[in-house]
Amino acid sequence: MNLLRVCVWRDWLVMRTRTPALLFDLFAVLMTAVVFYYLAQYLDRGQDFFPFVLAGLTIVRIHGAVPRVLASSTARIADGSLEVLMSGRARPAVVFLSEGAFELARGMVLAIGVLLVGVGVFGADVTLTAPGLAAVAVGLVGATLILLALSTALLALLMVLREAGAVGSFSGVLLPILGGVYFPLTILPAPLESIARVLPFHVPVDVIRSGLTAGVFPTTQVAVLAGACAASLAIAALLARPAVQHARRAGRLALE
Amino acid sequence: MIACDQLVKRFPGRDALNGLSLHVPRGEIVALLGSNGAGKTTLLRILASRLVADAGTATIDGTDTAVGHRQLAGVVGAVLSSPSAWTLRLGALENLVVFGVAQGLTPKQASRAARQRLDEVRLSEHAGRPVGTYSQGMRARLAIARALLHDPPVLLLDEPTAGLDQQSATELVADLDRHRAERTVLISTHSLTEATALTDRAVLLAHGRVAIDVKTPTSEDELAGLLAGHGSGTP
Repeated sequence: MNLLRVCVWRDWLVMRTRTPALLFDLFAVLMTAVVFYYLAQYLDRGQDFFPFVLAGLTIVRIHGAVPRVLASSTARIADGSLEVLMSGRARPAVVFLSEGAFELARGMVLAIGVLLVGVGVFGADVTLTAPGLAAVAVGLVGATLILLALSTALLALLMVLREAGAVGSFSGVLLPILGGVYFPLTILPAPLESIARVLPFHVPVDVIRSGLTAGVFPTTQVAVLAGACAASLAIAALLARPAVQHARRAGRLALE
Repeated sequence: MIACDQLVKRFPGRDALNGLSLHVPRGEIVALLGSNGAGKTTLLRILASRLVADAGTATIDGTDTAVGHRQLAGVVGAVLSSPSAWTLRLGALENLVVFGVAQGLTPKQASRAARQRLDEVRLSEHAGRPVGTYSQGMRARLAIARALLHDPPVLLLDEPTAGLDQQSATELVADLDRHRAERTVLISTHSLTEATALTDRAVLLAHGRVAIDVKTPTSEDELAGLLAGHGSGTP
């Protein structure tokens, strides 16, 4: 946990040196809400579609951290600093989680920004209740953990494939289609819906959506979310070790 | 003690190590000499658990470097990476704290050790300056500080003075000289000055094997003569 803490601290310090990037991020938060607010107006479903999609947009915002983690890790592989971290006492999975933690946490803060803009500025018709807000909070944390697991698994894949662009693109198409972000999973063809139901991405979306639109705390869905988080993190951690060992054998722990 | 037996490592298109065997007792300082491609860096990377050999074994104090990298992390300090292996926007202190924690120190211990090592390599005054603004010489000294953070008994140094001007190289050699006591050190170098100034033993690698293994002479000319006698060209 110490490594995770100091890596978050490191990335926080780096972010403070990059004010323009932060301003662009905040602008992107505003624009995300703008796009879907007017899309909802155009579809003439206004009050139904916007709150529906708002829940999904929060996850999309957090997911935006994943390609950033891949990009920064690719740079750390290239300059050799990731290899130095890997040569320490920490397990590979801990190093990967530490590399992604700050970006994912930042993504969660930006997702809260999307919610605030959607409700406060564009008047999304949500049900604000204490149980509903608790569900949103739990859903956001759960989404962050699942996407942290995704970034860890993709970093493991990156150690083997060394194709950051392809890995990032692969990740980019997963969520919108299989996460129930923009449309309900029920409208997908049966085989795709089955795959989407097995993957964990729709679970936090469902929890947040229940909290926002119905104002309830969906206990069963939250329990499923907790299980999905634990399983995702465990699988990602299992992938890290053989991936790093493969890189050691191939001589590709750092680019030379 | 470092023990390498019949190490083989092949990369596409070249054999980096070809049955290399080398034993280094505790406390000895060994210069690894040899032309580019002789296998020096590959050997050091295997010993630092950053690379796994295709055949043969490499152990440090009995621990296999291929599988025991977590145990060896506390034992080995290495300068093997590029001069850019830092978070360039942050200062030396912040960088060292992160790497120290990765080596198993607590953040407090890492901070204390980082300040001490920065002082030793004369970088305390620049500790808060972004590492991206450091000169090559400063980064080389910082790399030494990083390798020494957890006070390892084994140091692996891959051409630590490469790319430095004469004065920076001399200062760095002096820094290394201060820290060699009670450590086992393998240092790869093309500099006979470094080899004679720092080491007890000179090992010339050629074609992925040990070609010459001698007690380091005190004079550069004598060492150059030994190497030339082997016909392996420049180190």
